[in-house]
Amino acid sequence: MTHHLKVDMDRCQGHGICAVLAGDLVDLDQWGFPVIASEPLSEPAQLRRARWAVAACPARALQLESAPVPASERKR
Amino acid sequence: MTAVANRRPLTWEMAAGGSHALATGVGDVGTVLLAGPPAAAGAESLASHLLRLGALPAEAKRPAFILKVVADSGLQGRGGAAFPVARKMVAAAAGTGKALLVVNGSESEPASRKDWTLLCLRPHLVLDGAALAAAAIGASSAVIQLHRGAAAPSAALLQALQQRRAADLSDPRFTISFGPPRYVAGESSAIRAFLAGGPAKPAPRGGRGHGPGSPPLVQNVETLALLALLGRFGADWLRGFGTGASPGPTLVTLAGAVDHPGLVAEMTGPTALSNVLTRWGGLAGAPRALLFGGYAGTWCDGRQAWGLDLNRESLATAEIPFGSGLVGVLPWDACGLAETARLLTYLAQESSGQCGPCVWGLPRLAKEMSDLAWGRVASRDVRRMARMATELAGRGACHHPDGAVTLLASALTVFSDEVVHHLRQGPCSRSGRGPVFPIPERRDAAWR
Repeated sequence: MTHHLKVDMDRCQGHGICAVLAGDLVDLDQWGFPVIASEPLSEPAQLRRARWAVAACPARALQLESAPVPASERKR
Repeated sequence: MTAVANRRPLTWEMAAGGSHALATGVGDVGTVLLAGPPAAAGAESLASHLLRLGALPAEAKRPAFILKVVADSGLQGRGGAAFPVARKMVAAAAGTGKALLVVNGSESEPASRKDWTLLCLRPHLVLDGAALAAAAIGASSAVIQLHRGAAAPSAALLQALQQRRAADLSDPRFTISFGPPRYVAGESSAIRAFLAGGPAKPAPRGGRGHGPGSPPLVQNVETLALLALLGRFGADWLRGFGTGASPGPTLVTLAGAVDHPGLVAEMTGPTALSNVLTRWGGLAGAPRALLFGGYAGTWCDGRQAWGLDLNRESLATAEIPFGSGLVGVLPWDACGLAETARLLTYLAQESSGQCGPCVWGLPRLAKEMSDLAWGRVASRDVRRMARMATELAGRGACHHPDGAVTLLASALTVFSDEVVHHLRQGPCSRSGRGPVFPIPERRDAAWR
């Protein structure tokens, strides 16, 4: 599985809790809205922090998108 | 058989009383969609329309026929996104529940006039196409969506609908709906939201989801006008115009420093941009810059763009958006940075306020660009502005901020000489002149 942290911008209220709980995955722009790296989450610890941030988002804007790795990429 | 009778381009002037002006000049561009009586004659009557084109053949209203002819023609939507019409129609025809067609006449690009012109001059062409599209998806009613304040198109439509009722055409039940005249309110997901009773704001990326049944099929009026001709003359006929990837004649609006801003021209083949601008725009040579794809579009260096062909396909190879066919001309005596600042201010004001990056980011970009255009800034300010733009790209709930970011990025490239000049000496003398492109005044801030 690959996991990506995603934010629904029309829900996000800029609380910034995600950046506190998963600071290595989420940056805040100058207005306090999240900037999320596009790379998939690789380490189990990252994934744990991501799940924590998702659960803590007061606006329910943060999501963890998980998808099976496509066969074409599995070979590499 | 073909409708190429009148080869004059048409212009619609927004002057008091809505008088028509006609620009003459024939190049390698004819008129198919705009064939018929001259612009000065106003909306074409049903009698003239039927005399010129004949009634829609009975078989054209069979869903299977229309879906096939649309698929064979490769027709793309003319609202700006160029989505294949057949795919949208097939999906709508296969949908469950009550089907609804939306005739999208809410032209939102402030300088664009093509949909307005079609509705005002050829309402029956649009309504014929709407009747076909409605039949194809099994819709018994169709909503014509206009911006509030679009008095001339709505008058032309009301008269046309009256004529059609008197002639007892087997039309769907047409209603006219007026939405808020906002920049993003004409986008199809915004119209769906509006018709569902909500604010006319675009759906976030990935869609908003909708109630039971299938969502309404939203088609631009130029698309529907082409459908009216497609139903009569067939797919091969349509493919005789335009380019391979983008078949059919295409309307463009000339804006900015041209002889007749708002002139609508029809491209029937792969026409040279320089030809269009010299013959119809009154230009003697390449302008300072060209704006393509609308106010949230892309600047192009005038001399570099001069040799291009004006069609979606050729522009796409140069990574220039065609959008809904706006060609904006920035003259040599205007400052591209000042013009960009005005456009960004407008785009910021037109944010639907759905997400933080747009609400906070766009006004900030507009302010920074205004400082560069009219104030004193240092190169680190320009770097900060560029970084901020990069940071906004792709992060909005909808695509509105992305358009502003591309506009800004293209301005910094195309107007790099101006940037250097402004950094060294402050505002140039050209940044003092008035706007080249019209910026609508916000009189109506409502989203309903």
